[in-house]
Amino acid sequence: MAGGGGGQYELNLTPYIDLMSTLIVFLLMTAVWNQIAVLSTDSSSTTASDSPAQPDPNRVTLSVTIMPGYIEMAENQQTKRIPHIEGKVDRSRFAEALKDWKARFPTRNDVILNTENTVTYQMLISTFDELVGNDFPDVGVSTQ
Amino acid sequence: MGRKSRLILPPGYHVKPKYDLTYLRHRREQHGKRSMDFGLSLTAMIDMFSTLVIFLLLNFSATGEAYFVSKNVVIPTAINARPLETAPLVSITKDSVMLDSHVVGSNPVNVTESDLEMPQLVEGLRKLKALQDNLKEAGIEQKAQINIQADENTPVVKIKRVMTILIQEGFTGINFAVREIRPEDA
Repeated sequence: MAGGGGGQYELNLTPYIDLMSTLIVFLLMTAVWNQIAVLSTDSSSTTASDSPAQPDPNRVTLSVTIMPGYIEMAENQQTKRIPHIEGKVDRSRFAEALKDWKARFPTRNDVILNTENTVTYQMLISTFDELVGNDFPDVGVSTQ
Repeated sequence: MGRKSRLILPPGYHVKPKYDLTYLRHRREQHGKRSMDFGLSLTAMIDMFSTLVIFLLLNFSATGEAYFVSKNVVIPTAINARPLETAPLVSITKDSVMLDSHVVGSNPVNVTESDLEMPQLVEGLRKLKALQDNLKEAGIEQKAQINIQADENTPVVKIKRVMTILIQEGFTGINFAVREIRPEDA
């Protein structure tokens, strides 16, 4: 065949291997192996004392208290208890109760979270997580 | 003619074993000389590289931060968490309290609400606050935030004790470090 190369061609793999090696090193160095995230509480509104606003007497205070055997949900003085299941928060019943709160107080995003001293940190986080997941993102953790 | 040409023959291989290992014999006769015409097979390496790159790209996260988790700490899990932001880290372990990997307080077994004295933690926080104030004066806005990490079985009283000091020192934005999980894994 006139003008035909007729030879055997080989793909030059050197740049490809260089690129791959660089990419692998970069990705390994920047890889995030721990999927760490945060649950945030901001106590600035409760600690700022420059111009304390008068509390609204008609405003209902929503609070959740974690006790060793149950969770107590309180609207002012009216309380409701949700017992733990096998030492853990009953998340389904707690979520139902929070949905009920949200239906009755749709504009409220804030809840005060109290804890008894002996409960575990995991229980605090589980309850906090459930509150955030049910549209109560403004959770104030009480240090009392 | 043909018969005459075969009168003188060079001495050849005379051993006639039952199983003649022809390949091995030829190798020995070459006296260790190897053919210079060989190629490295790159197929397997390129396959491995490609698989590794795809795996790492799928796991790539642009929002994550390098985060040091203490050896004795099992971080609690949560579903509805938000991405971690860089902030000073307070680690609460069974025995001690650390601020950015410096031990700044101890955690006795029986902590009560009145055990609020952690002078080293207070000192460390004041140094941080002074640094943040300097940055603020230089026009770099700093949030008064702090990250807390603690073992999932830590009694809450130990967390509250640290939180009280943090709030007193002006660190009002407190972030609890959690390990994010999917709802189906909860």
